Amino acid sequence: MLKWVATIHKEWLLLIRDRTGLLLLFLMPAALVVVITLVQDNVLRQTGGLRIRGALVDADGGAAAQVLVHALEANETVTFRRVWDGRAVDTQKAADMVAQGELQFYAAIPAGLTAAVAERVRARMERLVAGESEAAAPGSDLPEVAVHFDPTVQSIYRTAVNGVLHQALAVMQAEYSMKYLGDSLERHLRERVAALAGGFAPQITEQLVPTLGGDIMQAPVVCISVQSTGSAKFERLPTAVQQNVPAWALFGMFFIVVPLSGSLIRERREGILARLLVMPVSRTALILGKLTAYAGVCMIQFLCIVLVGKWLLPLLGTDAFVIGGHAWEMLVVALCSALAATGYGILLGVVARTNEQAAVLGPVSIVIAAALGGIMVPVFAMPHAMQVISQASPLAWAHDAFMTLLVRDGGLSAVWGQLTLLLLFFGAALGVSLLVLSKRRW
Amino acid sequence: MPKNASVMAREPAIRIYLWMVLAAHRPIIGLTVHRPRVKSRCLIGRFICPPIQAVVVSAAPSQLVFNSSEPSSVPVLRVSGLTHVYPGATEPALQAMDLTVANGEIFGLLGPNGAGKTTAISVMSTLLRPLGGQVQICGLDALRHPRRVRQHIGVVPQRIALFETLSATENLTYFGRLYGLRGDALKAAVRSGLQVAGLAERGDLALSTFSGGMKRRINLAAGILHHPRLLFLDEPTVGIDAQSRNRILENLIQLKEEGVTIIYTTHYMEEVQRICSRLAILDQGRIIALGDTGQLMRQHPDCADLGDLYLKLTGRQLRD
Repeated sequence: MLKWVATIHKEWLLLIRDRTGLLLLFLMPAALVVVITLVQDNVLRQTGGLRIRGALVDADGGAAAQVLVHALEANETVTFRRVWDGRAVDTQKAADMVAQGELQFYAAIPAGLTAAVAERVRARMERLVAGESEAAAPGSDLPEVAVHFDPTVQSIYRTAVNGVLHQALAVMQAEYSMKYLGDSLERHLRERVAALAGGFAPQITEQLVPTLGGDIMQAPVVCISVQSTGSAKFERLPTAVQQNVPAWALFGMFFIVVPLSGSLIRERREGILARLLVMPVSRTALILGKLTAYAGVCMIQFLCIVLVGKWLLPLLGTDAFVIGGHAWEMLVVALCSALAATGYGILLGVVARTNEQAAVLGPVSIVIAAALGGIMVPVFAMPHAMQVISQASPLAWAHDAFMTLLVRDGGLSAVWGQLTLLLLFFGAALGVSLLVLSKRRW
Repeated sequence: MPKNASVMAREPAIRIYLWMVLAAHRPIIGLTVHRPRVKSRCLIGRFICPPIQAVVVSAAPSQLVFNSSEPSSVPVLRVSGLTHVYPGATEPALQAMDLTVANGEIFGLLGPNGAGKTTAISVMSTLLRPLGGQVQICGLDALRHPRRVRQHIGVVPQRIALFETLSATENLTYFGRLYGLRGDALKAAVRSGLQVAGLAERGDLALSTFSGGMKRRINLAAGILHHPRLLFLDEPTVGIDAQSRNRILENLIQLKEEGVTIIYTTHYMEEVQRICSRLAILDQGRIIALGDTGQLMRQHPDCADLGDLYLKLTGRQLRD
């Protein structure tokens, strides 16, 4: 026991003496959390819209185009700009701004859109009233609103822009359809009355069909209700802060493998470990001493990052990190994660032959595990095969446990599976390390 | 010391004291202290310390360890039939090595690179488990009881196996704690180690600020903090100046006078002639010469000195 404590003390002294290394251990994960959170803040913000902006070029100027422009400008998801420096944006200006990266896309309403829409809708309503099908319509090309994207715009944003455009076109189409449906019905009724009267139709001065249209068709008849599957008292969306603070704290904690494996390899190469192994102390005490010291560093790292999320990030304009009522549960998850991380660090330090091997293998494997673990991209957004593989990542277990506590409002009973996996990983890594150590040629 | 001894004491305070003394020395003197089965009327005695009448101290003759200051006929190190082959190697690193080193000897282990010196030291110091053979240290079977043997041995490796960013005091304190030293005994051992290294005034400086010679001296001090019975030194004077080397050799002679047995490997023949009472020359895993320097020189009158003898026995071809 005392030899274990002596080893912890020695490791702490070594860590404290390496001030640059210590600074990197604490500063880099904190910087990572701040930068990533600020970068992603708007994407995952509860009330924010997408920061994607485009131009709207109206070469038509007719009534249909006006309806479309109005609908597009009224949406809250994507920003459309029709005027730039006090002048209407033309196609050339819009294309230049997209090329320069000032805008991410532009949509062009073609000249003659209103006339084409009017003609097409009128003909369609006539067929509707006459009882003909759309298949009987003479073939002709549809008028089109062209959208030009910057090639770097990701498909999720393209989908959002297309969705907004479709919605606006639907509004315009509904308005024109109602208008021409009313006209067709009126004419059809008058002709029918005349036909029934045998040519002696009475002169009807009043309109038979009331004017259709207006905003009545735009009013929803069904609404969408968004409900959380967590407890009712705890409805929280995964904001950038809630997502990134535990995610990148985990990433930073697992990066402990670099200094930990480096320290072990250095002790091996300098003959210190061989010297320790001929002293009256067990290998387990030596390894556990090292492991405890570094797990302690991981926990301090985690607490620092939580404090950054709670106090520093709000000063930079983001939401504050909310722990909810799960502070102790979070510490338990953090401790299990720290053990898994340090166990992996010990394993790497024992298996890798050189510092260079560990310096490459450690960070690369952590980045892969983080990517698989949903630290960078949510697991549900991955292809099926990657979702299956992600279940083997310790970072996925730990991240899922944190999300269960912080977003789904689960308790320890809800994360025991993930905690067990983390502890099994730790035990396996430690067991293999001790086995390799006992078989190693000194 | 008798094979079995019983001490009668009914006073709880005396029982506590004796129990603590015996228990504290158990790992050092290799004794077995049996817990009593006799019921005591005293509550403290029943649960904390046994009635002393039931404390039986026993030790098998082969496990007896003697006070280091007393000369003994029992060899401190006895090696027989030691054989080892590294996995994948075609030649054995050690071949049926037999060696006996008496208490208080400085025994030189010589040989060219790859002769098996480091393997022999690794096996004898319990770092490496051999393929065959036996190693007895202070009467204990080192292969069966490595943890107990490690309490009696000190190892000074060829490399400076110390923590560069820690001070000399911190290094020695850490190693002392691993040897089980605590409190005043630890402080005294560290102070003594710094004095042995001639660095009593620089104990608080980081090792990275030390010269090669200073580090070598601390490297030696770290191996003798716990007053080992048997000290293994693997080329402890490599790459240092004459002053530091002289200091280290003087320290070793002093340790010998205190009864410490030393196994010493080196490539410097003058060091062997100066401090070693006996030596073995090892080549290709075998001992090819064994005895004291004078005896070996008399067996080879054509050799002018130990260097000549060494080259004659091991050959002049390069061993890369």
